[in-house]
Amino acid sequence: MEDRNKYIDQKLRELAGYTPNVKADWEAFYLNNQSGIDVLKSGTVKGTAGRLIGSSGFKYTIIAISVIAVFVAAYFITSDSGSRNNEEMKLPEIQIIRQNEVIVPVESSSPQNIPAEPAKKILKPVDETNNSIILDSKIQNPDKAKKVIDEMNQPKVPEVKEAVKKTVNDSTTKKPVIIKKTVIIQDTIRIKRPVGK
Amino acid sequence: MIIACKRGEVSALKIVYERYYSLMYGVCLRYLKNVTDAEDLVQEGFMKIFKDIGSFKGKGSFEGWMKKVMINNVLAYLRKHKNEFVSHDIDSIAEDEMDAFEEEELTIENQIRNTDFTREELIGIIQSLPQGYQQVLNLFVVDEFKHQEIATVLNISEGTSKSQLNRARKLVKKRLFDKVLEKEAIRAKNDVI
Repeated sequence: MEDRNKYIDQKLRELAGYTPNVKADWEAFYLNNQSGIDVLKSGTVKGTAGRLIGSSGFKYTIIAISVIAVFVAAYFITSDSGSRNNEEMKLPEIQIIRQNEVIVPVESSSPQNIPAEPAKKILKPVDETNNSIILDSKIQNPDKAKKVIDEMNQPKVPEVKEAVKKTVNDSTTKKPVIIKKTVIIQDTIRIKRPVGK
Repeated sequence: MIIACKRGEVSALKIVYERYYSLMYGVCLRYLKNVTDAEDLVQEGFMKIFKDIGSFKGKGSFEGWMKKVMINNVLAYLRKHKNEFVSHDIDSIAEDEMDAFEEEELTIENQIRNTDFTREELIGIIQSLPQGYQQVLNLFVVDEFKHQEIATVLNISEGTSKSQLNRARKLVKKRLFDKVLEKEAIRAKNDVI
């Protein structure tokens, strides 16, 4: 069967190089397709794109842009994950509120028992809502301070410092007087737990 | 020349157009039914060639590449205007023709072998084939595509391509035999004169 078709195929194959007796009319073709050909004058679209892509400058630009993009992406990724870590590792926020600074009355140890000046008392307003230590109005006795148990349930014992020992001359007797000034500093630790998710 | 064409130099485009116009026109004629369509599509095909010339990498001949672009353009046109070609009706006519022809097929083969046909006659016979047969015969026999490629290009199965080729050959034989008879009749008429 193949052999029987062969002679047909041979005859038809002659048509592969068939060139009819016609003349090409370039002028007519050019006029009909002038706009399209004018576009080609500046280089074919694919050719221009190919040359552009093939040029080394273009390649280097692409590489540079890619590298910058990678760095920027890496920066954002690491900073983002870092902030997440910070969130996860967040410890309870501890605020130390210097609530009361008490200056204990001056104790004078003068041999003549010179009357002491009235005690200087400085009290800062107390915020009861913050589970803080509220001092009693009699500030000279800090032990009596009304305590509100804070979240840690660990009431702070006021720290008493013997602060300054000052020696001055009595204006009347001209004898040295030692002034002792005791400062009680009470700190409240306020713990703010991070809000649960 | 090709490099100049890639740069879009009009003088180079003109040379290519004038050198290959006739060959490309012949390609279009083989796939189409009439001269008018062939003239339109050869122009369209050349514009496509000039636009796509940048993609020609020098693998194979430039002429072969141009032919492929031209054929693809024609096939795209035929796909687009498929409804204009009533190929089914023609196919059924061709089937009837072939059934009658098969009985005497063996006896006339020798007559066809011994007859010379002009290219115009062969083109006329190919153009007279139903659209599907015309395309498969051209692609397989003349342009040497494989059935797999034909199936892809025409969006048909390989089996369809093979069966259409088989029928197309039979019909070509039938038409060639008609031509033989026609020639004999003319010869006889001339002998009488």
